[in-house]
Amino acid sequence: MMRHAFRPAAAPLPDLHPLMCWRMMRDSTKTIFLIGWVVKGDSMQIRWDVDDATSVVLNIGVFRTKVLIDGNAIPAKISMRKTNHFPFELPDGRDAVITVSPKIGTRPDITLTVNGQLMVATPKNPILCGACGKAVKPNDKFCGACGHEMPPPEHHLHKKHVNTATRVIIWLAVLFALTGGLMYYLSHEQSDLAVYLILSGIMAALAFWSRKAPLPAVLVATAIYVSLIVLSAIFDPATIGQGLLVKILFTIMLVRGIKAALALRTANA
Amino acid sequence: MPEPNGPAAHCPCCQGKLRGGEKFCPACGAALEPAAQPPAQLEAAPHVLEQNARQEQVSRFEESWSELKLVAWLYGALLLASLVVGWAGRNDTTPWSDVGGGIAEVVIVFAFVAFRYRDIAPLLGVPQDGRRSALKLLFLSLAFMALMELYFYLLGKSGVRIIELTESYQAAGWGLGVMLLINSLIPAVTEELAFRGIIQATFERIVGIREAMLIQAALFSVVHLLPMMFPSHFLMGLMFGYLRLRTKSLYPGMALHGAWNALVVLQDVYFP
Repeated sequence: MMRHAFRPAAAPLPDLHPLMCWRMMRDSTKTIFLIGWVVKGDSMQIRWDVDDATSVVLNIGVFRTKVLIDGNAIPAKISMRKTNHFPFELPDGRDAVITVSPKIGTRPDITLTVNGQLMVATPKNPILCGACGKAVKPNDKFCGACGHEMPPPEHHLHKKHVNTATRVIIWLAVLFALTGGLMYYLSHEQSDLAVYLILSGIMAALAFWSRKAPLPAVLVATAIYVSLIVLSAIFDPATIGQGLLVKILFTIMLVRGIKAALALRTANA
Repeated sequence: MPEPNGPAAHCPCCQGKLRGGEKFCPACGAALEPAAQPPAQLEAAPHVLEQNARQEQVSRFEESWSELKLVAWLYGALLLASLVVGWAGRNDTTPWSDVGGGIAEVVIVFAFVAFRYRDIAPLLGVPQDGRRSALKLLFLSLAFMALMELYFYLLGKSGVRIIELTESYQAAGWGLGVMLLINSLIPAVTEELAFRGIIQATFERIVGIREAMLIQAALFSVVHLLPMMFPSHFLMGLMFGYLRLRTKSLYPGMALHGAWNALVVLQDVYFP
């Protein structure tokens, strides 16, 4: 069924019980991303302009989180490390809920719903209409200048996961190129270098393709990545456990990207 | 159109508040007429239309996601079979691991074919193509095989070591018929059913014909677990997929696939 073409390199890691690995990975990635997010500083605040008269701001600090409605702080107990909801009322009596859903490998999904309707968070750069290019308010359903229908709020969440998957593909492209260079430096085997460069080129092409067609690109990238893990395991079963945390993390991010890209595709169909 | 500096205006359709200066209502998309004109009549309230559209979207997503999971199961099962056969064959110089791999492939693929027979049945008919077209496709197939021969010749010349397919069979004294059965006929039938049958048909429903071709060819090349042969097997996947689209049948692809594999076996045996 298969012929030998090359033997990939393997990096040794300590052997850990699978359940312990899973818990460590789940908790450590959430904490790492939360700390990284806070240290980076530019995304410590999420703002929703619910309408022209009402805004909700969520300030995420290292030790506590604040919710401000039209500039007035209200007491809030929101955890970034587990799924939880914070219900409150807007000044005009509408029911609002902030929901935090932590995700492995990326920032938690934080959403605001008002009377059951999902709100779009106000981005740093203005949202532009896809048809006429004019700036549109985040929660407008149609462009005021040309009447073009704006994507639903879920679109922005899905886009975030698709972008994460694309970043993973780019990381894999860089990783393969670096590994090929290292292998050639150590062994001077041209075939090893050629294999890794082919893989790197394929991943780079898929990352480029994912801008136009994210679903097929992320699908194929996931198949390639999982197949390479299987190929390594065939040559050396010990490689299954090596770099396990990263393998699981990458696979989860890629599969989440597939699901999000599928959601975008069916929404636009 | 509402005046930018006048009192707060409302959309004549949905009564939503307007900011002033818009040509269309940001809430319902209605073109903003002068206040004198009557509001537009809608067949159903906007929120009901939106709800219906959303429900349709959700059910389309759920359906597509189930189809995608089926493809993932099929692909995963084939990879798992490769893993098990690969482990079993690591210290085995006899061809029995290949036989095991062939049997595993047959069982997995036929199980999925039975489950999704509605996708496969239309493709098991006689190829729908005239005699002239058939001749063109035959010449195209021959040209394709020549191209593949060239690719592997250049690959061998560049120093890539490729173990001969039939080495273990010849060492065990097995006949040509068995070699052709295990390395030509079985892969031709099972891989065409899996990739050009189930997988391509599923993706045609989800992403359309063109992208389905690219995806099934990519998955076909990757499942062989040979990075140096990703480009050649990707082209093979495209070629077999093209034959399936043109003729609306899996048989021409099976024939070309089987012929190519048989050529490789015969070259290994008679021109080592």
